[in-house]
Amino acid sequence: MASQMKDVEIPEKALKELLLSKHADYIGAYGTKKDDYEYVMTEYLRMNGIYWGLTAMDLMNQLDRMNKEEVIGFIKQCQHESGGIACSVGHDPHLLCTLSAIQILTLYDAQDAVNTEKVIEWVRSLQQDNGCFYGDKWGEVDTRFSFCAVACLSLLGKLDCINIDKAVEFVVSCMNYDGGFGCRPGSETHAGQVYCCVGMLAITGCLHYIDADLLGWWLCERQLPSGGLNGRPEKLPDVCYSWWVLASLKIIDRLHWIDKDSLIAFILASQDDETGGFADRPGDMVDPFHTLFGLCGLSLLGNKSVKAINPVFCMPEETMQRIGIQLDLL
Amino acid sequence: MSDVRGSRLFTDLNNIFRKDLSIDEYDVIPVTEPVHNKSPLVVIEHKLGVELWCIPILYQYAYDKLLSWRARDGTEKFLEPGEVCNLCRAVLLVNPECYTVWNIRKECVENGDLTVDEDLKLGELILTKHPKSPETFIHRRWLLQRLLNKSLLSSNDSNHSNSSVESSELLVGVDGISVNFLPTNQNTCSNNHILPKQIDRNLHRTVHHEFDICLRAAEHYACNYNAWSHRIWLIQAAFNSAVQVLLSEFRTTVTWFTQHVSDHCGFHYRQFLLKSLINQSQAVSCKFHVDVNDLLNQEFDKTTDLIGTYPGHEALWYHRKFVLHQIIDEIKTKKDQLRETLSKDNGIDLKRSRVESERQQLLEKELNLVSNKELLSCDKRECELANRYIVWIKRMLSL
Repeated sequence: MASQMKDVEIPEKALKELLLSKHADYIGAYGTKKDDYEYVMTEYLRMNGIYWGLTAMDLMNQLDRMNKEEVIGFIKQCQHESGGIACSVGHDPHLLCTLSAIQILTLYDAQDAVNTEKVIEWVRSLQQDNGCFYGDKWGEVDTRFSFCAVACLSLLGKLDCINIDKAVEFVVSCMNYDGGFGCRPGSETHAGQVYCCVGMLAITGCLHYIDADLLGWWLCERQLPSGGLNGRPEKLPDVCYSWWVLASLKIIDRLHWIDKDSLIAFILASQDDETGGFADRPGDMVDPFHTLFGLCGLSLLGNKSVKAINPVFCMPEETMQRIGIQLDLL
Repeated sequence: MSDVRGSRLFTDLNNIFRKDLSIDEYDVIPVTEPVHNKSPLVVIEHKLGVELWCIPILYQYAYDKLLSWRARDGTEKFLEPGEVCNLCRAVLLVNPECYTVWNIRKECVENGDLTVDEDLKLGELILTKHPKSPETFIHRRWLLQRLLNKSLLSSNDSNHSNSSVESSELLVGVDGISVNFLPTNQNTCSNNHILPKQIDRNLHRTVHHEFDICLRAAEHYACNYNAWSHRIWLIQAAFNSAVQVLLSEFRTTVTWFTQHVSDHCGFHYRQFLLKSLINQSQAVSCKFHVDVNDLLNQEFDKTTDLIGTYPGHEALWYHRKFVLHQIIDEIKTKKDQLRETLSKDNGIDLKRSRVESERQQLLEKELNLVSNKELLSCDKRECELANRYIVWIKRMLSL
């Protein structure tokens, strides 16, 4: 009995070239229809969306096409009295959007546009006794928030304001027998959470906790015959895992374990040659999220027509050099 | 024009929920434009159907009004708390990822304008349409934690107890869960737990119902990470990983996982249960007369059957890896205990090497079994999975 495998087939006529100018046009025009229902529906992701779009543009060397003043003005409006930053004006602050906001401001060399002291104090206040971080004042715990907190503080040069040992201890307590990490202690390994935990350990200089061969093996098993990567066993491949999985592999020095050519083919096949942009997989609708992670994946795989990406912060290497952050990877 | 229609749709929606308190499912009816003069909101047997064309109108109306009220900057400076809750409901039914709107509901609960039960009910309804919605599960954890904290407070008041373990044990009642491993000989075990002193029946019901909700979400969406990690959270937060509950869960999920052989989340849940039981192996054997090694071996045999019946499933091979890994780990624990307890007589080296060879033999036996199996010739994918497994065992052997 032949087994049914969850994968996609790449059509013969799939795109094999990178359509950079189309992607820049797609991102450049995104968000111009602000009354669009889709645009309203995604407001809870606005700050993340702006970060995805701007980073994609920067990777394509097109950042100057975006309205810097408008973006910075928007971020200012999103900072709350508490110090935290919201996804959009009138929404509540959260670590996920606070990191995006700090990443954008760093990209623009404009961290001072917000009250960074207050951001730092707010992030610090979210750490708990066992080292974990709440995502906001309501108390949800997730290893993603541990990453957001340390990434944010590191970009602001204030990593030492939290209890790093405890923070690391919590993340390590989420490690599983397969070498991967889940959202909380006891939770299943998930490639997205793996990226957050590996990134967190990279920022805090604690990568020695990772069994690189064991985790690298699990990450490589995410590659399917189509060349694409999934995030968990028996799931469909998705372009965004070209980031979560590849960046993790890069950090632990196991990127060469992946079949690069077939993955590049999968990512390129997920472009839309009419609208520009990348979709989760060939033939689907494009969006800024997958567009960024498609470009990031290609960058990690050595494509020289996009800028080099930093595997921990998901920002251009040149930005990291400018602010003087250099991490020791494995 | 759209504002008038939005307001009417919102009123219709509120009337539906007012008249029928038992709406238990909702979905979109693929009608792309108004074709008749009737309301686009239909209820049949407590199932709500919403015509596609009206969703953006309803959403935009409720969303604008709600956020304008929250910003206190627009026309909506004052709204009745009931109206705020209704607006939140309209927004969340369409877009449950809008976390700020869940936060508004949290404030309503804190202010006493909304009960935890009502809010849990809305989340349950939303999960029928959006079974993996992360924000819906996050909000539920907040609500449930609130109930648990309240129960802890009240039990601390009445029992003068400050121990969180003891207090959490209060939740493990004898009636609410299908526990078949009742403690028989409590006094012989040092890790003796106190039986429930006071059971908040309402909380009990709520927490147990939460298991059903997780299962339904897992049925509706395969490999539902949020549903299964929510269930894990429930075991940890509400039951303090009590052995009684772990064993009960372990027994009741057997059928589920044999029927969902490609759902790695379900297997991971069993792995979580096994691991938690191993961590309390002394209590498991003392109070419940169950040997975790037997559980591991039975689970291992089950994966053998399932792999034979359903070739090509990565989830099954991963599960086998986990179980074998734990069996090996148990042998290692035995070895460590030997090292600690035995004095330096001539017997140690002999016994230690016996344990080491037990591990070696087990791995080699498994290696032979998988290598020689005819499955290597039948199915390409199965062959690949078996080969990956072989590489993994070889690595274990070299460690």
